[in-house]
Amino acid sequence: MAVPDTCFHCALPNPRGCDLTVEIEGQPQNVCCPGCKAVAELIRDSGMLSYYAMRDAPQPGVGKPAPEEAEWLVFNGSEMLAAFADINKDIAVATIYAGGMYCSACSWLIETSLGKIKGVLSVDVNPVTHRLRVRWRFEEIGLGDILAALSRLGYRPQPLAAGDTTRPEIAEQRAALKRLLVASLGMMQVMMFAVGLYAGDFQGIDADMQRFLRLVSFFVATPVVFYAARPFFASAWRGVSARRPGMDLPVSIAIGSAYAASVYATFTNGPAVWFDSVAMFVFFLTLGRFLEMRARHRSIDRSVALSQLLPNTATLIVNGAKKIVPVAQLTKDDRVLIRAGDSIPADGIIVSGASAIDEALLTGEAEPRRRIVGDLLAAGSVNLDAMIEMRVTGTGGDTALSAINRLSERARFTRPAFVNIADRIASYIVVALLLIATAVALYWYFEDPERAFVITLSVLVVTCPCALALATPAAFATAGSRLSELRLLVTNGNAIEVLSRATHIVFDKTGTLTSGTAEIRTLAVLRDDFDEQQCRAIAAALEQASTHPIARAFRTELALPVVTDGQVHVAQGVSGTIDGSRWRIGSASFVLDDSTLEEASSTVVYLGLAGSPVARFDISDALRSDALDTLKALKSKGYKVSLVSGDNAGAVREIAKALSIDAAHSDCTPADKLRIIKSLQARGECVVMIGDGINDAPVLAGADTSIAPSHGALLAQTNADVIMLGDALHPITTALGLSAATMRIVRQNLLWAVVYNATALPLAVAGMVPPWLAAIGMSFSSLVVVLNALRLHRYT
Amino acid sequence: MTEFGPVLAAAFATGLLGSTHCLGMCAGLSGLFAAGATVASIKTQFPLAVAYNVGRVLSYAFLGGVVALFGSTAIAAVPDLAAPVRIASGALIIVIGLQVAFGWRLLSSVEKIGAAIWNRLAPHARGLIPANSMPKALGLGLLWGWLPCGLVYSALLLAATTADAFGGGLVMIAFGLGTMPAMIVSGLSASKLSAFMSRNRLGAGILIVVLGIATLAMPLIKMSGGAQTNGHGQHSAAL
Repeated sequence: MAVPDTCFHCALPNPRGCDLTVEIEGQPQNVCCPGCKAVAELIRDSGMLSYYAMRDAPQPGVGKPAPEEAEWLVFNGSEMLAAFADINKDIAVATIYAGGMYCSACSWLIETSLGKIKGVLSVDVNPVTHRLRVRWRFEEIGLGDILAALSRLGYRPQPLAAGDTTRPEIAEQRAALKRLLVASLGMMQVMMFAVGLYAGDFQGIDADMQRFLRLVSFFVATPVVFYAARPFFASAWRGVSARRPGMDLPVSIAIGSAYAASVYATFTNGPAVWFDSVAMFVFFLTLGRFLEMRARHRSIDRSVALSQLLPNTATLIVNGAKKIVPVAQLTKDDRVLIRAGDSIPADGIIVSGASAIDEALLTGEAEPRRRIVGDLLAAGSVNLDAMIEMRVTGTGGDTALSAINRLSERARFTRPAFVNIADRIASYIVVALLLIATAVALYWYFEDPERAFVITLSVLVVTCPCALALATPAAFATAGSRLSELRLLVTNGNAIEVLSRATHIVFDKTGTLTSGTAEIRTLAVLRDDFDEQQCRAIAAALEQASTHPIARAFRTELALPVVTDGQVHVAQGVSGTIDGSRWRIGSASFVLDDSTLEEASSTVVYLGLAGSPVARFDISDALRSDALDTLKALKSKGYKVSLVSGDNAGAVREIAKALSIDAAHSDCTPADKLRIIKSLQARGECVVMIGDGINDAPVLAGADTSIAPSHGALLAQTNADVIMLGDALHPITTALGLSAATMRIVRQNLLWAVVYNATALPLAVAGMVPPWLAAIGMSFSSLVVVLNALRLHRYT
Repeated sequence: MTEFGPVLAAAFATGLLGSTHCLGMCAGLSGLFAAGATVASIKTQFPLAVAYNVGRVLSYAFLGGVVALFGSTAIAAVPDLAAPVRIASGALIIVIGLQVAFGWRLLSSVEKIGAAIWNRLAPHARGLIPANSMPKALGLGLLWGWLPCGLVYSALLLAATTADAFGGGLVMIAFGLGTMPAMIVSGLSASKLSAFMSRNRLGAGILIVVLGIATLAMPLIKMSGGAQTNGHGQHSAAL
């Protein structure tokens, strides 16, 4: 299927006069070079021809779009183009999410197929993020045609809103990588020349050769100083103009003066050049910063991925007719159709259909969950296998997804108090170092003027407080990213430091320890003329009207009878008419004429027909599967554990017994809870509150720090310092240990930095450290600090 | 070392910047490593990709050593050839640079000879696909190093001019390391990379040409400088 003048294998143009061919399934195909021929034959002979089949699958631009793809043509409109593409003259650029893309062969297929469409200028596919970037002339072909072509290839395209895709940290990372590349290439080259120069110093070198090597070093070192080291100069200048000199000031002075002196020596045949020290210094500084930045960004990566998996269009159902609209136009109570494979555009409740939903992005659970009518769906999760219809409950900023993003944004901007202190101290240290360097310069100027510059340079380089400045942020950044791997979202920069001091863990309400989803534990049918299935179906049909958490226990996939005039009776139950009979479901007193049968309890629900009982349901909320193990682990690590709940004594006692919690308080009002926490704190305990805090925010705020389990859509209202995105409890134990480890590493790092600087300074002042050794020493000390912090990544 | 410096750098740059073509040829082939592997298994694919690439570079190093051995025999046979050969390697780097910049294929005839060698190796490669274990990936890499490729042959010529089996191997390792980033990430973001490469092909070529000039300049200066001060032998001894 290859176009005759391009290579069958690599799709590059064939050179003129090239007559190489390879026989694929009996057909000779042109290839561009013996290499491609060899690979193509290898693939053929290994029986991997499906590789090409996947690549060359249906050619787009041929034939009419299939009926279900016709709806993509809506996107040919100019308002859609404006919403989803960046336009520059006659060229449009759009980022499209292609669902159903699994491997790099897919990216090949998309690139080659779309690339063949007339008007498409370039296609870049990123198989990791499942996104592609298309540039095309929009007067020749519409966005809708491109989307239709993608959908014809078997992918589920989803255009992403323009501007969504450029993230400042990605640009930052790219720039840093370029600088690092320049610095490392420059350093390698300069070092190579420096070896020649040093050898020359010892064994003699002809003047021309020395000059040549110096000149070449100058050319290579210049971009290192002016490009790779520019952030240091910029930051030093910012520090100076804000009257808060940072650690980049001595760094900049060292780089700038060593470079200037070397340039001077190069053109005046001076005694020595320090291009190698400069390049090395810049390289190691850049490397240290780069590693620290990577650690910082790793925790952001995920939230970026989250926001970008939200689709930008949705299929709205208006009076039975389907219509594709941008997600921004969805409002509460809209009906939306979600096809298998699509991601869910807003928070909502399933109104028809049932499907497996992949909620990994929100909860980290790899296993898809079966979701049926009445279940909540969170925006950003993916509908895997069947078409469902949902009623929108929250859009845009109201979704759980955007709450996560908002919270991680908040964490990024609240710096731990600890880091701020370190910054302030660094400022004083920098001033002190500059004073010392000046004193050293003056002393040596009178003592031995020839060596004054070199020694001052060494002092500046070797005492660079980089290790000191990196010690804390590197550790915190790594801990944050490790926590996000554990599905714990830190929303307050101070949380880690507080967690490391924690002594007492207080579980607020039983729901924290239970899975939070009510289930029917036992069902007893009380009349012979009904069977279990009928009871379940009738109960489910009645409970459809209710929004009470217990109602969710009755969800079923059975076919439901039709209920007329369903009515919710607050705190009692639901009534409704089925086939002319009046049914009630709820508490014994509500359903039964003779309510003395059973003591009132929220966990027993009766289904009754005209005042007589038909079935009895025992509803229970199961413990989280790892609750027992987690509590054991917490206790074995020496943490005290309490349960402070607003539930009745029976429920609390049962859970406390199952988990052997000694300190369990029941029937607590928020004021009681707060009082208990305060009394613990008065005894010198550092209290971590674990609870969702939705109705008792002051309680969470009263504790030293708080962790909230995420209950899907309720996440938006949470205000805890740490949020558990997953369902498991055990990451709490890991988080407590990790926090302690983080503070340990911070202390180690600070100690190391102080010891290093205290040792190196006198040696440098005494003139015993040449500049290149100073550069190695300084970078070694910062690398130690960063690598030490990176160990936290492996903390389990 | 100073004389090797630019040659090694040029070999590395050739590998790094010249791999546009390799990308077209070999990108997406990472699918062959583990047929049907999903994106989620990048963690398992990465070690395989590294093993495969290590194999490839080892083959290059071997080839480099062999051709350099031939080179040294030839140079030893003709006295006073050392400096002109250095100059030749400088010139060669410049040609490679031009080749990269303008997409020339000067060595396509040599590729045909290489294809003949490859035909003998290909049957062994078949058994290694899909390369879903470390030994298989390494083996496939070892064989892949023999794939007919003009860029590799350019680098081999360069290796030959070092006239030292060790140096030749070193040049080819530098070249192989240069191709690594492209080959390792090819499965991950081939498209971006190849787009970037082809956009910057001219710049890449010019960079290689500059390195060639540096290589060329050093022996030239030394020849002129050495004539005046007779410091040539001394300097070499220093290294």
